Amino acid sequence: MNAVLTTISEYFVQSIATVLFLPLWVVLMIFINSSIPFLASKKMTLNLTLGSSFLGFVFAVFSLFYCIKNPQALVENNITWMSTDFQISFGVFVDNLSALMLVFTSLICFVVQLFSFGYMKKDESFHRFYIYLNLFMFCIFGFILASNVIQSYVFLELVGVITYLLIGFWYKKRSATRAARKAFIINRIGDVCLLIGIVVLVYFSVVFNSAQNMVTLSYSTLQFAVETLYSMVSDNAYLAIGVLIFLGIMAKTAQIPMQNWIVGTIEAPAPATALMNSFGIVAVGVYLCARFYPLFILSKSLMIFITFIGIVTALIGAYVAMSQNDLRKILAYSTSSQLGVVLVGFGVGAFSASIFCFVVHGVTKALMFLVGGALITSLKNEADIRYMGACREKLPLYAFSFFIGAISLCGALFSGFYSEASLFNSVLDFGNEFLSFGFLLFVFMSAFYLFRAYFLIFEGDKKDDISQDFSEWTIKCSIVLLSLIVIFIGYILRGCFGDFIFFISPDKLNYLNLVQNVLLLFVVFGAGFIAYQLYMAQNKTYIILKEKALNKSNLPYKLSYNAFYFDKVSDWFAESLFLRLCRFFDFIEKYVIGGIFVVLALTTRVFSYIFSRSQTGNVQSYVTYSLIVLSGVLAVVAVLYILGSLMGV
Amino acid sequence: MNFLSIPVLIFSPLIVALLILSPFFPNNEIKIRRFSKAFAILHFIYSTLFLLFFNPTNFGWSYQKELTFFNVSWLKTLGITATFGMDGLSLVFVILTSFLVMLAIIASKSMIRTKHRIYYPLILILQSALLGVFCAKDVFLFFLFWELELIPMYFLISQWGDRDSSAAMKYVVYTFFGSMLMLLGMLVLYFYSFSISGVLTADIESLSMSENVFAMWFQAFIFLCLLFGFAVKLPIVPFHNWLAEAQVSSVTPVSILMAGVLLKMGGYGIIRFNIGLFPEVFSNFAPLLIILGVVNLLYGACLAIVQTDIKKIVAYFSLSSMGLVLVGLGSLSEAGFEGAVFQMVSHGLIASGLLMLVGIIYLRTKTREISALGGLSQVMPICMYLGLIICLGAIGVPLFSGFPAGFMVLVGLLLSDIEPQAFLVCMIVLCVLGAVLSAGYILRLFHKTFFGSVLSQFRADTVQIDEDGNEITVVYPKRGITKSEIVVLSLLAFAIIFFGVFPNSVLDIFEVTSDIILDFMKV
Repeated sequence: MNAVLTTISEYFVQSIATVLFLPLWVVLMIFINSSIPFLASKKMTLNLTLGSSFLGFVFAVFSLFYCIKNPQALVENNITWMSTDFQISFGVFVDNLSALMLVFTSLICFVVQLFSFGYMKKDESFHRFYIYLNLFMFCIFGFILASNVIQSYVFLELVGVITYLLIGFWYKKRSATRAARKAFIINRIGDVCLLIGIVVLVYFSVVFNSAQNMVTLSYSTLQFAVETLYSMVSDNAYLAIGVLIFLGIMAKTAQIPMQNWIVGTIEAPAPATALMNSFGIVAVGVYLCARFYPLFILSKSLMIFITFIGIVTALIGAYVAMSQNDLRKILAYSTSSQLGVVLVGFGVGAFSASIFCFVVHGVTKALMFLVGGALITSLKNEADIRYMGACREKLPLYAFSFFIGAISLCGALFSGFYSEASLFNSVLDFGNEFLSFGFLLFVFMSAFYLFRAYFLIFEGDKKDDISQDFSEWTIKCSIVLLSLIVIFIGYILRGCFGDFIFFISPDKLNYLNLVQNVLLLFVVFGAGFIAYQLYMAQNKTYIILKEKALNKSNLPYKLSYNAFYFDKVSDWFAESLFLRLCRFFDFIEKYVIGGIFVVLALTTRVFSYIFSRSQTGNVQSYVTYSLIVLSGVLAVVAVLYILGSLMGV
Repeated sequence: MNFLSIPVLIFSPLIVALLILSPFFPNNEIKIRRFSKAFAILHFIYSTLFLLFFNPTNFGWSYQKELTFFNVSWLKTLGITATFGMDGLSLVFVILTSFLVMLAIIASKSMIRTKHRIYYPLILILQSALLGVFCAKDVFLFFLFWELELIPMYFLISQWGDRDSSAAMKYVVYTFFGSMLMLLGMLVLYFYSFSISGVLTADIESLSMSENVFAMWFQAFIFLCLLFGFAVKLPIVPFHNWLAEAQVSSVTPVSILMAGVLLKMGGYGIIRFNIGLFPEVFSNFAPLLIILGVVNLLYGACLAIVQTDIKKIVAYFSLSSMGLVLVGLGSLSEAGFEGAVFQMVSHGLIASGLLMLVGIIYLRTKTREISALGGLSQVMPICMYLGLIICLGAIGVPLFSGFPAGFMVLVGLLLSDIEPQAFLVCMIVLCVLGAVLSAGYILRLFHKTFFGSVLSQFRADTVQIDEDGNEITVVYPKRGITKSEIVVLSLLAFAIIFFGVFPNSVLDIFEVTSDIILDFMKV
């Protein structure tokens, strides 16, 4: 039995490239299907897509099994993509990390595609949405299976493009296209920083590694490559390379100061938002960070930088999320903040704990966005939580699953408990009081905004009686499935991280530590209690407190509500500063460079006027002109002659 | 293989042009158009055959052929021969030219309304001239074709489109001024090589052998003369002023040829003459060229951001892209060189696609003002998707043809021998800044035209009264997209994706040639 399994899994691992190309084939099929009028079948589109993601899941599970059985074996197949001074290859690379990521990405893709059927059924561009979802699968699988840094970059940008397409899916909405463009450009800024870093890496790998026919910057040799690099270049140069690469990761994971595009993802259809915020574009950043971990860990200051960015984003994101009224905005800022904590984990050296945290966050966030999307549609597109209330009675499933998600996300119970506790443990081990305090503050604020959202939406007085149960079976099914995953996945996986997913050497996760667990629970339920008092109970003192805090002129509130004015500042830079510079260039172009031509033309015209005037037809004046010219020439010749004889030539 | 003859390739468009102009040809616009279209397609197939049988054994040259008149060379006493040949570089550009001329003629169906009988012959004459430039192996033959291109171009710019003869004049004056200096350089080169070697010859290969004996300043003089001619054509800032005006005032197929092929003549000339004949001077001037390239890149991008005319955005996009070519050539490394050539091919396709989009939009809305456009996605969805592919190519997204070029140029820049390294890193940072800006202006172009709401001024005149007196709303614009336009756009989109996914398909063609040129430079 075991032998059979091994053979099968080996077969699956060897042909893992199928996973990559299946979605492309499905895109073609959907395209053909949708372009036949009258026969276009939505069921067929759904089945094809689900088939491709399910097959991806099967392949991924077997690959994971294979990796568990053969911990040291890496599967790598490459073909040459481009060859000049150096060779760039495309290929597939399966190790523990990529197998695990593949499992979760395909799983979430599957659930989201199932959900989308009910959600998008009445939309006229149903097929287009599924085409995008399949393209997304192609890009993200290509990224996860990338065998070298350059391939990662290629697919990373493609994921950015798909994100752009998904955000701008309803392109008739101006806000959607705007958000899409903004997300693309901010990601592009991160991408090009990353590109500089990669170009420098390629340069060093070509210079120091002149062995021919070798895959440039393959992940299997990256460890060695960065160690060589570290010994070759100065500390500052190494730091610069690391920061450039990390800037790309920052853009993708929506870190300060490039975090504001994440709010734009809410313009996409809800399933797409769920995908982007869980295992979509943000996963790209985290995964890249894990892949480049050998590079980061060599430089102490780089790790401090990562930690700093992570904790600042975690705090600011959570702080901003506390005062938002749009449910989807709360969740989007929450993504940015939670990923900040994941990066903190990387920064303090807790590799496996961060990956654990990230996976749990992804699953939970997908659940919450899906529930949020279904809920908002049920409420006739009312996304403002102030106008919701008492939805639990009519929509018990949503209330229940949202509660599970919220509890898990703030680390009190279920999967989130294991991940958050082990991460907190690593942060405490790091031994920086500010960091530990910041982490607790982050937990407090996260719990606060999640409970606030829960209470305002599902409990309390009914503020709007328009709620109707909008639920196709696919929607219910996918939400139940995801809830189950959220409940159990942490328990199942808790031994996996540290034992199986680790950096260089296994490090056992430590999530059971009575004092710390109690501390975390205390903070979470304290936040929950405060949220309850503020938004549910009719206690006078709290109401006055709330009034005071939510005063429009209150600076902390304004900062939080306007997301620290990052948008305004960046707009000012773009419009007032940069566009003015461009207009100045345009002025130069029009009047200086264009003017030269005009001046030349005018000069020619003036001369031609003068000379044409001299054509009088009068022989006497011609003779006079020639005499003048002749005497001038003679004078010059004479002067030259005299000069020459004086010089002794 | 004997049926593959370069003179046939070059002169057949000329002969067809004369045939159409001759009184025997029926004066029927459909017949003229179909005949030239069929010829262009055949010509493209013929030119791809050259790729199939390409055999770069003789110092990278293949299909060499000297055109003689009764066994006497052209201008025999002066040592000037009508020798044609193709190396990998020429081949790439020949196929590009033939492809784009084909597309331009297909696109002309909806764009050209008047004077068919002159228009198509002029395009074909232009094609002859361009092919001649890319295949000439003799300096003066090269110059002959270089100048021949001006004549059809002047009429094409001034007679169709906005009919702005001052733009055409500007184009001709700029180019002519540049080529006069170029001619000076060529003549000086020719005579001094004669005075040293005693052999009268204008063959590019023979000239490249004798250059080393000149004094350095003298070589630099000739180098600069030649460079000036190409700089006007490429164009390099500050000699670029003709580009935007000529682009804006000419009709779409002509601007496709201008951006797609004519600009490449400059790049080709720099490779063939400045690198091929004066490698040592070139390596001295390389940092200057890199700086000029970066200036091109950023200046073009900055101008593109503030333009309100969508065709001008595309024109400045071309200017900006050509900057990358200069940077790649200046880097003097294999990756940079190949990246530069790849960028020229890729830009030829992408700029043509963008110009085609602009042309399609202009034809339907009669405006190019960006503020007056919007909401076209609702009426032209196919055009939007094809446009999206082209725009992504222009931004330089991987797996589209813009990316391999940019990536190779950047790595090539770092791999070059130029000191200090910090200078190169600064240049790389500036280059990628250009990449960010390109995302800005291309997406602005794309969003402002295709997204948003249809503006009221168009809505107003689309309401018509039918026979019963009821108001019916005619969807703006009246037509979505015609078949010929779909063909052009989708061929371009396909090519952009194909070369993005398989960059080696282009790189392999001129690999041998680039090795030869770069080896020569190292010696």
